[in-house]
Amino acid sequence: MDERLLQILPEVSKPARYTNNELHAVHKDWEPLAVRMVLAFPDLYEIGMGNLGLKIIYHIINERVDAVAERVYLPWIDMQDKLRAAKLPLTSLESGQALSKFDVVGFTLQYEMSYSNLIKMLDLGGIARKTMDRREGDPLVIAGGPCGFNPEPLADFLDCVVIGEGEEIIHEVLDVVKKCKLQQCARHDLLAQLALIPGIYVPSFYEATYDKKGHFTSLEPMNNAPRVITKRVVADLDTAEYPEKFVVPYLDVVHDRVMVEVLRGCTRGCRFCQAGMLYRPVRERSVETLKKQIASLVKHTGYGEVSLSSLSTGDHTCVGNLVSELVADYEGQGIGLSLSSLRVDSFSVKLAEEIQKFRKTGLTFAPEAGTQRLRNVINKNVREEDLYQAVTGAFKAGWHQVKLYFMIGLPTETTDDLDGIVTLAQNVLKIGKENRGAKRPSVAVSVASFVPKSHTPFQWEGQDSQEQLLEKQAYLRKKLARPGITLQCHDVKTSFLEGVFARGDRRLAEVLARAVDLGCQFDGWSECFRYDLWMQAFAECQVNPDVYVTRKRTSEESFPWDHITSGVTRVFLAKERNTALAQERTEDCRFHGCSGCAVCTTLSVENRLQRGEQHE
Amino acid sequence: MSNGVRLRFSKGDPVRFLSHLDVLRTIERAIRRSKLPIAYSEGFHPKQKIAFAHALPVGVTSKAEYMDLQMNKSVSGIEVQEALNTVLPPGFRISDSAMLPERTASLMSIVKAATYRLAFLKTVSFNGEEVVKQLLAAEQLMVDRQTKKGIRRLDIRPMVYVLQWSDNCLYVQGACGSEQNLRPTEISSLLTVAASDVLVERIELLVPDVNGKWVTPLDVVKEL
Repeated sequence: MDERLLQILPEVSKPARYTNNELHAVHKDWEPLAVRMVLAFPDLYEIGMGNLGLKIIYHIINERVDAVAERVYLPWIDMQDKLRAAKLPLTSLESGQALSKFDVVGFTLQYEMSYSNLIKMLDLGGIARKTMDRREGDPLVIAGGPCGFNPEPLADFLDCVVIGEGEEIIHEVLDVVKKCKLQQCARHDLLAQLALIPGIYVPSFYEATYDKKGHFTSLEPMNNAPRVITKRVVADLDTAEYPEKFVVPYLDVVHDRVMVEVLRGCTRGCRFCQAGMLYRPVRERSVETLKKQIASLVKHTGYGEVSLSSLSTGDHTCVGNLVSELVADYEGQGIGLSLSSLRVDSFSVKLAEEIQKFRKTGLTFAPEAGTQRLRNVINKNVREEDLYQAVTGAFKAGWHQVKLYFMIGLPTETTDDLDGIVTLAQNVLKIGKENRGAKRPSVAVSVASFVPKSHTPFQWEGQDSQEQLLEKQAYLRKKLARPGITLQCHDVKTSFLEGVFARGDRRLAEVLARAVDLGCQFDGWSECFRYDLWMQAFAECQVNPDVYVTRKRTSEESFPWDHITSGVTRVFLAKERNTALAQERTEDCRFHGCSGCAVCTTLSVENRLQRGEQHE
Repeated sequence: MSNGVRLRFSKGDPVRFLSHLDVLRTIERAIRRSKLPIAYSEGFHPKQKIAFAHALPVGVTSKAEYMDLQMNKSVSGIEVQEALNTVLPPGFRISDSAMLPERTASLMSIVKAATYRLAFLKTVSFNGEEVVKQLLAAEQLMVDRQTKKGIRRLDIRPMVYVLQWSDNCLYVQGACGSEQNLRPTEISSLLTVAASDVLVERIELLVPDVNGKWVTPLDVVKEL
């Protein structure tokens, strides 16, 4: 490690964030011809180290003899100050090289509130912010992840964007980069060749147009770039590459455990859920593969916990068998199991019971909306009876805290729906009192603000204003103020900014750059979030943020993300929106007929279930 | 003999910035990887039965950290040592071991002193031998100690037992434990050397034997 860096470390908080040397970190020599890529997570080490996608990509790249993958995270503010004072650039953990020395810098875009951090990392890494300012020999700056499906706010900063799942396309990208490195291609040629890979979007090859009112009208491709970029998808998850080892951090990081992805995709069709639309179709891993992956990861990491993660783990058609077998295999070794998300039904409670025989701290359910009417609108297939049955089971089995997740600001919401949240919470508490002995039951209600996302049936909807949301929060706070119930609400200013970027366009680049110059970063951290500086940046750039957030879009208007498709058609989304407004449900295509989202035909894939018992 | 094993291990340069909790987590995972038959506590949160001596400050390396492991069945110290050394991450190394007799007093309760070596990264402006004489001759050595409740003015002279200057390093033997604890950087602060300009290594943890002589935590159990 650089001597100057060693001098700094004793003076910063948690220096182990920056020291490298974790178990199973991969250190490769920098062969002159190998492609060097640094995987950049635009947030703190403790957050980024929990990301499963990057673990997979890190493994895949390092398995290649002709490529190197390293890691970098955004240092905390004290460390940034020290680096600047010592005139040191941001470096990767493994080799300690500046970001500017890599061939490829790959960012993952997990949430909108990390965009300022991405700019900050480019600054600290010594890389020109904008793609037009990068020169021959500068790194290729790419990005992927869920927010890559509307990358327009970042279009000026990213050389290319990977749309969809990374396992296969990463090889194609590395192959092109390697070839261009050998042939010493010009930067423009490299981008042109990358643009030929299905699933790669090169923002600088497109020009945006706006109408007189200032609304986005279209994105015109240049340089023979494709008009539409279709997401990449792994047809068979069971044979997809998966790490046998994880880098084991020393620090206490999020999701610090063995993680296996039991399935990918979800066809339940919740209309607010972007992930549900983006990751279709459903592909399950086999019990055999999962058990093999877990055994290897447990052996190499020594973790005491295994998490079965996915968008809806309880939906895996063999989850019952899987859980029983894992409990039998690992119970005696001091290794526990956890499920990432539970459905609202008694089957899920039984699963949780099997897993948490002892440690019954809290169970979480997400009815999302307070009334059946609104749950029909959002297509959340949970009936009031399901919730009551599930919590009865939970309290009887020994849990004493139940957490309930809701959203406010959903389309068509009225006071009745807020009252519905109150009624549900109160009834759950009542059930708790009836079914629980000595320990006092409690209900924790968590209320998020609905932020309409691109590529969903609600992409046309206006987001509630901050005033509306605050009013609703105050209403709930008043109605839910009673012993045994706690209420936690999301910060409305954060939801507002998230709303701006979720459906933003290229004109936000200036705002973003200005906000970072003013000192904005770590916007997801309440102690760092500077709404005032953000508003100053909008004002200085003469961009009205409200236009992106509260405005209801007309059904004909173009979206800045129309050139990117998840395979689910805009026609289907529009139809779903109408069905929503008619308060009607759309069934899950795994158990009923095809709902016509078109993902299977567009991508030539299909739902792949392991055909165990099915629990709708 | 019980099924307990006492281990001495080093915490080297690659891992010197780990906190005590980070070390604990690392050891727990290494034990799981080693498949050693560690005993678990009863109750809702079964925990491996590991006990450490006094925590090492972040940034300090050590040649002499100690831990006691309770096993489910008898495993020799050498076996434990070898099993762990094959799975521990770089920077950690088990250097010695001994079996624990029944009802051994805990490390926490017996360790009373520690020896540190302070190596100065920049050429020092003072004469080492002279400084040692002055410090030892002082009646009081006042420092500002940072505690959770704030900064406290404190006399550390009673906690300093031995000072030696040798090979351009300062060797400090002082109180270590829950009642009294000398922080090695407090000595360097008296010499107006910044914390980032000194490399500290813990050389040994010490236990008073029946005759009042300082011995190591392993000597204590090996003698029995």
